[in-house]
Amino acid sequence: MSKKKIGIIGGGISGAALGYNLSLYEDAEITLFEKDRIGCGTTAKSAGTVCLFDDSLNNRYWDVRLYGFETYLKMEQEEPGSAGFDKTGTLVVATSKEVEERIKTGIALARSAGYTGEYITDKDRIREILPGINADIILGAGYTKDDGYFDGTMISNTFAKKMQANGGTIYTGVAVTEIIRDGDTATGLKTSDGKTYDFDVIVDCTGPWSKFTGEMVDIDVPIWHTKAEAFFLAPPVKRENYVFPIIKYPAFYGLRAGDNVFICKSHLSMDLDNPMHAGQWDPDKLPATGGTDDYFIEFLFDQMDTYIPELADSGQVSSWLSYRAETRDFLPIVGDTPVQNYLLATGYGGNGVIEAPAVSRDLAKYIMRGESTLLLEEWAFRRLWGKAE
Amino acid sequence: MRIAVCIKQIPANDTVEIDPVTHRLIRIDTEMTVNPADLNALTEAVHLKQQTGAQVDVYTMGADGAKAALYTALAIGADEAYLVTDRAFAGGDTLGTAKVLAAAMQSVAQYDLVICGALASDGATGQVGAMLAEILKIPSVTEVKKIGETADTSVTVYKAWKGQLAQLRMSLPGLLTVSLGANKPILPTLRNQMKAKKKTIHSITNEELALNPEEIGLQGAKSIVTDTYLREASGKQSMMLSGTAEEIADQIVELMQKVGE
Repeated sequence: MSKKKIGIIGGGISGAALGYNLSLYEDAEITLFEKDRIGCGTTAKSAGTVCLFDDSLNNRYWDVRLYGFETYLKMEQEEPGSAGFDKTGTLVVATSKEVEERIKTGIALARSAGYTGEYITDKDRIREILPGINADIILGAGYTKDDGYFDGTMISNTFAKKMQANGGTIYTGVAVTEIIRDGDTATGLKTSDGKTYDFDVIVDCTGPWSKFTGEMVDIDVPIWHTKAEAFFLAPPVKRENYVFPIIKYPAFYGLRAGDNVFICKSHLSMDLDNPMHAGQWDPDKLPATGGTDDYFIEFLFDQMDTYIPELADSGQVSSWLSYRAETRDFLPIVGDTPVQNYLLATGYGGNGVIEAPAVSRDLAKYIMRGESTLLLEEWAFRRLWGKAE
Repeated sequence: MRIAVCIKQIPANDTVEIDPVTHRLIRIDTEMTVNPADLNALTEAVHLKQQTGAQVDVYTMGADGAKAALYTALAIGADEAYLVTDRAFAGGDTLGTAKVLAAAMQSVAQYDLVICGALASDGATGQVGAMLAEILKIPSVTEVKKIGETADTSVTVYKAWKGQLAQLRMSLPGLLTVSLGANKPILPTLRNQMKAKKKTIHSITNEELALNPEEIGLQGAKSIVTDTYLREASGKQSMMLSGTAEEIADQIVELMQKVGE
């Protein structure tokens, strides 16, 4: 049986999930190139929240959310710890009627899939779930105890391991230095160790790096780098047997990180025209820790002091900066590009962990069988052609 | 009681570049943080402040970017912050640094207690504290693990000595260098960081200190760095273990047995 040779560039959640989904086709021959380690880079700095209802992904794509969540739950069932699941539940706070409406819709969808979800207006009950909250200024909150956060690095490594078990090949510490083309068709690539590979299909899964990877095939990938500035806070009050839930506000989200709390500005609140939020930067120059802007402390303090005053008195343990790959409509770019046989699976923004399973499932089918899906049609590159500026 | 604390910025990550000519760290565009042992020193000072009502002043020598360290110190609990900054101070060795810091402190107040971190995590000489004490002509105790009872004229301290804690009493004014990990550093809260941003950082230049440029900075350096290089990789390996808790435990035992062979 002749096999379709597919090269994947990037071993984050996007590349690893795609590699695994492709490896389920016996006529696929997959080679993945990662210049560092599997699941590092942006994936390693991801919060990994996959909530049953929040604003990270429009309810229009709720099935994508559910598929991601259940993929990881099954991964955990198959091998405990392999997805790093921490079932903390989520509290989504309604600060306006519009948010309240969206939460209620999300709850209905979650319950339709058999999960729990309730919209709470009893402020004392909300304070029980999140002590320290200023419940007086909110309308209510959606709550489920069924979800939580996962670990993007562990998931990527689990996908990679499963892909290898299915015959896929992974090269780590190897950077792709050139895409070989024959006219408008990509035919192979060269790597930093001096080797050349021929491929039938090449998929760029490099996230924030795809701006630069695209240059190798003269594609202006229309993504902006937005700053994911994460802060680790040590709350002033320690509560015995208390589980800090994922908290979602329109402008920020938080989750527990050991005894600390991880807080980050939400990706949909980023203004792509504000140089404080977005630009074109070099992800290779990101420091491992630190690198955050002073303005973010002010933003964070203001949000905490308003909504969760107790956290405003938290000690700052550490911080880090990561770049998200964000498109103008905050949805990923998946599938064909103007270069034949050169595909993209990038631009997940803050939703890589949520979206990668469903996207990879559909993209693998498209690559192997040529069958598109509604999701691929909506998230196709062509919707953004000519809109890079 | 008035306490001075000396702090230093160091690179936050190990991705720093080294100037091939001067062999010094290139600090521009490098993410910087407060030297960890200095945070232990500052924490001891703030604890003393809480116990005795002392005023805590913090000093750092460096360019404008070093203000970030001072704002952190103010958020942790320092009362006043002094940036000792002048081109004439640049490129100095540990002795030059100690001379400048001593002069800066003397220009501000007569301190009862000076506290430094025992060692900077980048240069790791551990010399500045002791040199500072010599220049200020005050007694010093290095590598302090804990500060005990404090009186008007003396302070009880504990330092590691031959596997035990030695109790010492030092007369004041005096200087202590505090070991890394001596305490749990106080974290700057969000609220205190916002308050700190509103405070004034005092600048001290050589215009005020009038130190002889030939005795400080690069010109006055008695020690010359001849080479700086990255330590060779230790050959440490990591691997991900998977399976049930029992299976992982078995794998760990097997790995440990292999190491022991």
